[in-house]
Amino acid sequence: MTERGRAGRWLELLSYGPVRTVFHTPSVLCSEVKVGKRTALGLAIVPDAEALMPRARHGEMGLEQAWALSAYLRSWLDEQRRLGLRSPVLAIVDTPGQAFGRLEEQLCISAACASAVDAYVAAHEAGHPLLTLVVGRAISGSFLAHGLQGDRILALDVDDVLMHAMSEQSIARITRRTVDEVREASSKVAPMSYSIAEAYRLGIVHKLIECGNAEQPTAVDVATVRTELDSALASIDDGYVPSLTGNPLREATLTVERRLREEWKASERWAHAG
Amino acid sequence: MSKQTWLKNASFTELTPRERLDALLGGSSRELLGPFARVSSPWLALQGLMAQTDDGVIVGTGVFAERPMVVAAIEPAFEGGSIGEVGGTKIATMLELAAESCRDGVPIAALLLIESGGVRLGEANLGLSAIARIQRAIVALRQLAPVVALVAGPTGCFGGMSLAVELCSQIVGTKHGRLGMNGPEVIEQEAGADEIDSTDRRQIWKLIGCEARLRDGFIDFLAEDTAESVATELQKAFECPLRSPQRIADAYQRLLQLREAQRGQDESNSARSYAKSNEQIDTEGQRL
Repeated sequence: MTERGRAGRWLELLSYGPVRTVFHTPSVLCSEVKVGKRTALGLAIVPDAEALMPRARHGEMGLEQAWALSAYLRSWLDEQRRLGLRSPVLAIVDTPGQAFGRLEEQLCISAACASAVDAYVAAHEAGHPLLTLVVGRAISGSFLAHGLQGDRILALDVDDVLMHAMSEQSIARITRRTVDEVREASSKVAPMSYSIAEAYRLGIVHKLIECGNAEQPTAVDVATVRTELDSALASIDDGYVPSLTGNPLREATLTVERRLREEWKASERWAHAG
Repeated sequence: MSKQTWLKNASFTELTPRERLDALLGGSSRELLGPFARVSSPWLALQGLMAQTDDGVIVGTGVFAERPMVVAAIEPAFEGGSIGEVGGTKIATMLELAAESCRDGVPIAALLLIESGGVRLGEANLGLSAIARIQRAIVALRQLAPVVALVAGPTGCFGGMSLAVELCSQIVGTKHGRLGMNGPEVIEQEAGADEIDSTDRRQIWKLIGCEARLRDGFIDFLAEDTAESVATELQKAFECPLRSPQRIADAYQRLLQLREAQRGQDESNSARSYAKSNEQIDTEGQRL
């Protein structure tokens, strides 16, 4: 695979124009991608062995990546507003996670990642359809900052495409369990699974796309992905909102929503009576 | 001494989440979907872990500084204040209800008392998903009414919830609070003990404590450790005009600052000033 990593490769394959770096940040790439009849802004976080911050050289979402991604999205949104456009955004995801480091914490990587979340939500609120394509690892804070705000999250249905909050080793340490115990829990408990198929069953991922090899996709694989992106965008444009209703794995979410709304209504009546 | 007087004078950070709400909102607070509603995590028992009937998250309504608001407080004694499916959905739904009320012409603000390790690892992907929803809801409500976060400590705020807090209109902390993406133990695990010593509490507070965060503009107000002082700072926070929080809005400026600080110097400015602050901390007392 190229030095641009898997997300960069997919961005290249899907885009019709040149792939560019964002504000001189080789680890943050953008380009134009045709989705349906519209032109989407494609974005990817990719490895860069010479990145500014040593702990963000393998495709991590670090300070530089998050601020650059956010800054670029903001300037693109300003331009779209000026032009009266509401083009879609396509986030292509393969990141090992957020950058772990002392300097990252000192310089508040939380704010940097929050800034990227803020930009994605601003895009959504301004009416830009948000598409996410997971082609590799969708992990924790880096996925929150790049991908998880998508209106539709699509993922390649391949073994090494996965979603999680933390590495097995770190979970074991933080929760005072052995790695074997964590593995066993991941295999039994749907939200703890690393498998993207489980994320789909939970309703977090909206579509699984068949693909032979995510690392070296064939022309057929790319065409399939295009077709799926087209229909995902069409369904967003039609105003269709995915629902969790009827998903047995999400009973708790639905119960909380329903009962809180009931109690809210009752307490409003109480407040007005008082 | 009456209960209210006691609550006002006690160390705020030693109060439980319900006591904190009591101290700030007095009799106006009403819990919704409380522990007797018995909605708990369906995932913990599968792992031999004990669930709690409020999932460690208290939500409700109340009046603070004459403003009606939705409130949420996280119980750090349960699962480290982590966000799972139930607790996360409680917070997100309250924020969504407040936004709906604002759109209906009845402004309702939000007050979030955050003590959280971030995503609950035993509900990993549903925790992440719930936090993404909380984040979206904060940004939506923030444009209609103030959303104020309090990171009082001592647990502080980590992981995805630190992003959520940074998205709020205003952030109030105390010197016992801390805010970071990766907790010291996780950094030590992922990056090695040379990177950070997770047992060195003073070093950690110096690095990510709320005093440092205020100095660098990543939080907005710092309160003393009493309910009275916390209430005073919160009141100031709620009185701020509604606008996008500058701490995250100036992304391009932040990018340039980062490059300026890092480029051309093997020993960067920030690394050197960090080493200096290491020397200083030994002479300073730290409560925790």
